[in-house]
Amino acid sequence: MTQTKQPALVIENVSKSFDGIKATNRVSLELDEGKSAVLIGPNGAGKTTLFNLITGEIPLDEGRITLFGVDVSRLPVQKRSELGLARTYQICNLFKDLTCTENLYLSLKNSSWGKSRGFLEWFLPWRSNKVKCDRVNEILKQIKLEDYENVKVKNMSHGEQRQLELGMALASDPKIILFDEPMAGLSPTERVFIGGLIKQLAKEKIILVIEHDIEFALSITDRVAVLNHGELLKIGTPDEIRNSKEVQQIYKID
Amino acid sequence: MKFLKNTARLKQAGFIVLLLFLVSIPVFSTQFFLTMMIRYMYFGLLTISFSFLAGQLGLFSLMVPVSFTITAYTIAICQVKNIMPLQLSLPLGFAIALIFAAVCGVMVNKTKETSFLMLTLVLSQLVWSIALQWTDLTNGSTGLLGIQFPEALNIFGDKPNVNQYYWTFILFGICIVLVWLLTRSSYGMRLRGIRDSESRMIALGYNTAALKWSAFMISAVISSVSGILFLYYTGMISPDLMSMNSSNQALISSILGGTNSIIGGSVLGTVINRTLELTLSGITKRYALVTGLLFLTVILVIPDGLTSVFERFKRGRKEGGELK
Repeated sequence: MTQTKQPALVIENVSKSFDGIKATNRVSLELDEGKSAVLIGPNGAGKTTLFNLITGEIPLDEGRITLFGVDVSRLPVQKRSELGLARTYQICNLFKDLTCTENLYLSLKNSSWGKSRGFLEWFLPWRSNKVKCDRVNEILKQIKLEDYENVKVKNMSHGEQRQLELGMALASDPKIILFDEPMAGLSPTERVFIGGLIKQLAKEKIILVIEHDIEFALSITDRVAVLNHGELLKIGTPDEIRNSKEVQQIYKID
Repeated sequence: MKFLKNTARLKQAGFIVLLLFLVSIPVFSTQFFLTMMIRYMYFGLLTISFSFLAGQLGLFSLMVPVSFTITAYTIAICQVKNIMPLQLSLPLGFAIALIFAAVCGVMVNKTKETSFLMLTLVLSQLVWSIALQWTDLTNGSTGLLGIQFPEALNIFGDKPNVNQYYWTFILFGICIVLVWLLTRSSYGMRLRGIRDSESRMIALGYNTAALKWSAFMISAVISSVSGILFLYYTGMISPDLMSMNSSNQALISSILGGTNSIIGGSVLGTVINRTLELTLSGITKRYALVTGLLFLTVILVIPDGLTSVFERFKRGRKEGGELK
């Protein structure tokens, strides 16, 4: 059966208002294989709101979002996640009272390692699922948290929690990952490590990153979208963005 | 002392000794002790049904005694009014309690924290007032008395008390094993995931509403079993069992023991709470004051409950840390 190739993520004229204030105003953007993007813009530009609209955490007022050809505009969060969409959060949203291993184990749900054993899942010890446990150990190594497998998240530092956030995005093995300020509050060493991982991921997955560190952002992809006051100001190559008068204007320090 | 350091073997040995002790209780114990053990078990189950939701989902339900009472009332009404035999009334009691829990489960799932607490309180008070006011059926505040333990179940000798002890022990054991399996499976982990961050669980693709509902139903099943055991042991059921005080007892026992340790915490909490209630009520009329003070001390000094003290001790040994 032949299938027409659909773009991975299509956002068309998406709008959202909070108490009459347009947080996102008729934004259109397309992501596909080899077409990842960085989302930049000043605070309050509507970047995280756009992420929440894509994942379905808040319902949109107008517009349409399509994931691999499926109109997901009105679909709940878990359905979108099943289609291969994952995200990380600006403020770490982890299971604080669970261990590192358990956090990653839960994140395997939609990956090819997450196959459920049906009703047995209710009664068999979770550690007996070797396939899942092995995969978790692999990810722990990848994110350099192998010594933390039995440490509860609440006892980990901010940087380690960020590493775990990234590991959870990896574990769900999505096709598209939305990174919401993955480098916020990290030390220079941690930035190098996490930055390296994200760059690596950008080669394998379709990613959309919100990042304030423009130099880092531009090193990930050559497609940059600038949001301001909820509107998509410009989308283009790093050079086009650097030379754009409109963009310079919003980043200008008086 | 090498043997003592092998925690796994020590645990197994302890478990076997405990099991043998529990099985042999009717052989050597007094009537009073046997009665106490049966009470610990059925009230322990009620506490477990509360702790299961509190520990795994972080939801404090004040309607755990509802399934308990509905099942007990249904069986009692069927028996007193001679409507149907036990073989039918038992499943019917279960069915009505679970259908009610299923409907309530859908409603309370939409709420969180304080509103969850309030809604479960309202629902339990609703059933309580029905039991109190529908006197034709429930006999009002007096309740239904004279419920006989089915003779067909007297398979452990002639003494009714011994039979009741073993049946209670078997059902208590089944429920405990069930809860133990559930909490260490990935199902239990999912519930704890919801407790920590429901939004993240949804983002990971879990149907959290269905998971929460199923946990609510499991809690209702345990509560129903507890209700049956209570009914046949005491031979009566009255609206008191569903009053605020009844929910509070489950809550106090659960918090005394510690909600994080569902089985150990619930059993320990229930044993302390019910023993105090019984021994102190013989000494002073103000026994509730003493229980209250103990509860207050536990909340202030060890907010994670008494079992957390053992946990701390265990962790200290594991990490090779010195215990002071």
